[in-house]
Amino acid sequence: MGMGLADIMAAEKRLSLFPGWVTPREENNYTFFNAPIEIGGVVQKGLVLHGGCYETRPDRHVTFEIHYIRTPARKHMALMRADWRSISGGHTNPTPTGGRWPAKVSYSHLHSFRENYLPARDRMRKDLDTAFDMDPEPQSFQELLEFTGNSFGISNMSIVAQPEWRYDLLAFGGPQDNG
Amino acid sequence: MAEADYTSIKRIVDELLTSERFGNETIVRLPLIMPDGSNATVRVVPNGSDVFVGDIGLAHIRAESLGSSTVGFANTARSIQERFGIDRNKTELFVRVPADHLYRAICDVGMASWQIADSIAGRSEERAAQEFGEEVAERLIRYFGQEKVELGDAVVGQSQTAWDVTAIVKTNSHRAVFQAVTPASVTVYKAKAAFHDISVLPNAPKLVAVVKNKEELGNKLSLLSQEAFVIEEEEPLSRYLQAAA
Repeated sequence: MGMGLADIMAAEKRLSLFPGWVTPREENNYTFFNAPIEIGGVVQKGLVLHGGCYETRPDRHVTFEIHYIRTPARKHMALMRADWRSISGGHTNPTPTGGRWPAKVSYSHLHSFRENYLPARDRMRKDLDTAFDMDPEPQSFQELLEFTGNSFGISNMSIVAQPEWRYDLLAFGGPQDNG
Repeated sequence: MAEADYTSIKRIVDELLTSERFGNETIVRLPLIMPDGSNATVRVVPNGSDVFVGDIGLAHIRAESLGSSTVGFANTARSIQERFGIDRNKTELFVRVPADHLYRAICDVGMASWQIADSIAGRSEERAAQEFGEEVAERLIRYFGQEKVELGDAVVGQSQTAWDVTAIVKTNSHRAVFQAVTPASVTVYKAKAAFHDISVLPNAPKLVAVVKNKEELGNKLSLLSQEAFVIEEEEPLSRYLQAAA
């Protein structure tokens, strides 16, 4: 019997390596990485940290997410996500069944494992639809790494390099038709 | 809880549509909630007398988060973008229109982005339902034996509709239909429709809904129990026998 989702999230995790941010997509300057995760020194099958942001939107819209492929040939599922300074603005929670969730949270929020996990089914809520404000809100990329490492249980988040944000293209970063 | 008066309602209404400027580009957040709880969002970039309106690849990012491939995203996007008459590159939905068409362009791109993300998230629910159905089928075979369990068959209801069911179990004198049901509304309503249509047949088979956890269904539990017995998947053999008897 493999590890359940709760076991994975409770375990102390490390990134095996940081592969670097990929060349940004031509059409919208989106860049990302997928870093393998290990538990107890063993690289876990199908478990990665995914990071994403726009090269031309410095200090905005950074996402870190743990992806897991439970069964080979199946698609991955997201177990937890941190959205920092999202350009989509705040996050809206589902209409509460027990009144526990705030209706709307700020543009920096955490889709925590605990709030999105359905233990009876060992599954996640659809697209991790429940989130809370990051508290305290990270004020820099380095602080975001620290926050994410603590929240996700990843002890060496600091090996993730800051994206090579381009501050000069913002005003003229015109869209591309083809890609 | 805050009391709802005109002022508080107006404050929320004003928050429904927000914008933010980045250089020559304006980000517009629409009152459409993506499956993850974020707002459908578009960017507007002026170019002479025309404007470019794009979704910044956000539907694609949501699709990736849900495990959809680029091909899967493209297949879903194709029919939706045709409906709205908008273009797409690898990851971004967009239109270029004369500036006086901006209102409609913002709505169309935002709506298409939302529909694609919602459609892909819906399929993710279907996949979960399919996996649960496989788990239930395996358990039925373990409990009743392969020779008594028919998989992949349909049952024709009173309306002449053929309903795909998880399994039909043949006991000594009659048949019992087992249907795996997840809490997703679409799955419950489909099971409900099938149960009702089958239940009004002469000599209707026993109907059994198998769920992972009854509490998760909330009020939808009583929808199912109007025509079917409802048991949890991990119940012992005796409970399955009781339901099928």
